Amino acid sequence: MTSRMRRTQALPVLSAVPATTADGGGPGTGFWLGVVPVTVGEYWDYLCSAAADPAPRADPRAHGFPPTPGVGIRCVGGRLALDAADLDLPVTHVTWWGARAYCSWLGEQLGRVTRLPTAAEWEHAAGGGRGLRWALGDAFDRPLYAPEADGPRPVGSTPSNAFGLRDLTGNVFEWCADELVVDGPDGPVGGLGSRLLKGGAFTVRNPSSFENTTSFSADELTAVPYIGFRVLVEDAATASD
Amino acid sequence: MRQIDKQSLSVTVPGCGFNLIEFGARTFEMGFPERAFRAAPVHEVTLDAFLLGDRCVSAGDFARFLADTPGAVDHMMIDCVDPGFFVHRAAGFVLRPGCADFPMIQISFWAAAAYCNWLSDAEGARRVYDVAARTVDYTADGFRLPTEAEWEAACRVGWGAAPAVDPDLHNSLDAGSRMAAMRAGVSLAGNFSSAEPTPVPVTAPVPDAAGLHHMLGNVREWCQDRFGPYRSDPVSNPHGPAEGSFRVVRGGSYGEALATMSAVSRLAAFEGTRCEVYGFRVARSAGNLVTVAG
Repeated sequence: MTSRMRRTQALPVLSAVPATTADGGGPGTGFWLGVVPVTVGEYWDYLCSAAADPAPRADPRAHGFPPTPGVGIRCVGGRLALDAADLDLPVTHVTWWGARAYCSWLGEQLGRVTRLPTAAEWEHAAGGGRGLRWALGDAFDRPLYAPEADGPRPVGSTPSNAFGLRDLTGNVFEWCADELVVDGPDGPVGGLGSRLLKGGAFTVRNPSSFENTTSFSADELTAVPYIGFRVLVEDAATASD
Repeated sequence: MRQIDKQSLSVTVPGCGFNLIEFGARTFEMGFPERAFRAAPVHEVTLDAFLLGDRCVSAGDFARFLADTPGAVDHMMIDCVDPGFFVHRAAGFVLRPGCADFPMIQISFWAAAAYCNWLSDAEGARRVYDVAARTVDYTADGFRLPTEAEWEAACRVGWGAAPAVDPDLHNSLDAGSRMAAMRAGVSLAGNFSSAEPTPVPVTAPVPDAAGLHHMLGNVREWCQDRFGPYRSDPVSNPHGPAEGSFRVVRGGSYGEALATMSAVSRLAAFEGTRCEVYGFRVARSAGNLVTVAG
């Protein structure tokens, strides 16, 4: 039996991303972004705080954890179990809707508007104010970003960028708020049920797949070991202007 | 039970959308003198009789395998990022609507091997692949990927060694309007865009002279062999180098120019690659056809 509550509730650590930067770009409004993707430990504490039961339950709209160990949370017989050695893995197998629900819950804890970043906000943050191709520079450092792996590695495995953010390039893709829009025969088509992904993952190899400006997308209900997410907390001072 | 039509030498595999075409034993000149095709030198190859899928394994075919054997394909063997015909949700792999007839893509060499094993199990044949150990048993009688020599011999029946020329017969970068009208992007199937080249269904309006569909164009096809240089000596039933992690892929894809596609053109792909331009068709040694009914 997994111990349900841990001693202190883990919440994401945030770093400030300024509005406009040396490259002249930027979203016009500063924001706070998770230093690393939301971890297994943080997501587990959320699940426990939201659940009335002894152990959190499966919820296919929000997450689809595998029955076997390896990604930190397992689903056995409809009940979730924590693998305590894997608290620092980025939480994966969480759908876009599950990631949104986590953001809403966190927003209530913080008293701030909390959501997934847009792809543009993510790119701005990952570019470090200088429009870098990858999170830490304009050269693709494969051993650093994308060592050979068949699963996620713990968060914080790469150094901080100029905004104090880690792990933007590589390890797991990160859900963004934006819906996929594709070119149809008669113009752009949305409503396809997919959302944008950023950052690359252990499942891809091509350096271009990891570039800050590259976006992929996946079905909103996707639950896989190579997609996680990080939170964006809006800047209250600016938002109230 | 397998049914064989002796006139066309076509074998139906129950539950699958493809048939198997028998190619008799043969000796042929393999390769091409021009270096650009990575297919020099021309050399003599002798093959035993073999069976080859008349079309690529479709997403619908693969869906039956995934549903039948949960856990046989892990996330390092299949990719579920767009565009693609499968998504992976809490309950497992899901075939997207309107996608069943398109080729199975986004799968590694070993996912294709796992599918072949599933067919072997269904037919009571011995598995060719140990997917966990990443080994191949060439003496096993089950389903497998075609060797590149088998693939080339079969493709030469329909197309000779010359580059493809008709834009409406091959789904290439240069596809004509009739071919382009069948593309996944037209209906946004698999979240493919209509602004870019995309796959067409595995069944062509007209198969080639050997009865094969889309050998040239549509998707690159995983072959059994590891990639290696040709030698000039005659060889019998070659299956490539013993070491390495790059496999031969054949036939070109919707993303390549028509003029690059031919029975002799070769490419190498890292065997773990999961990409929307890689698919496969199955093969089997015809000498293993010992339980033919009728």
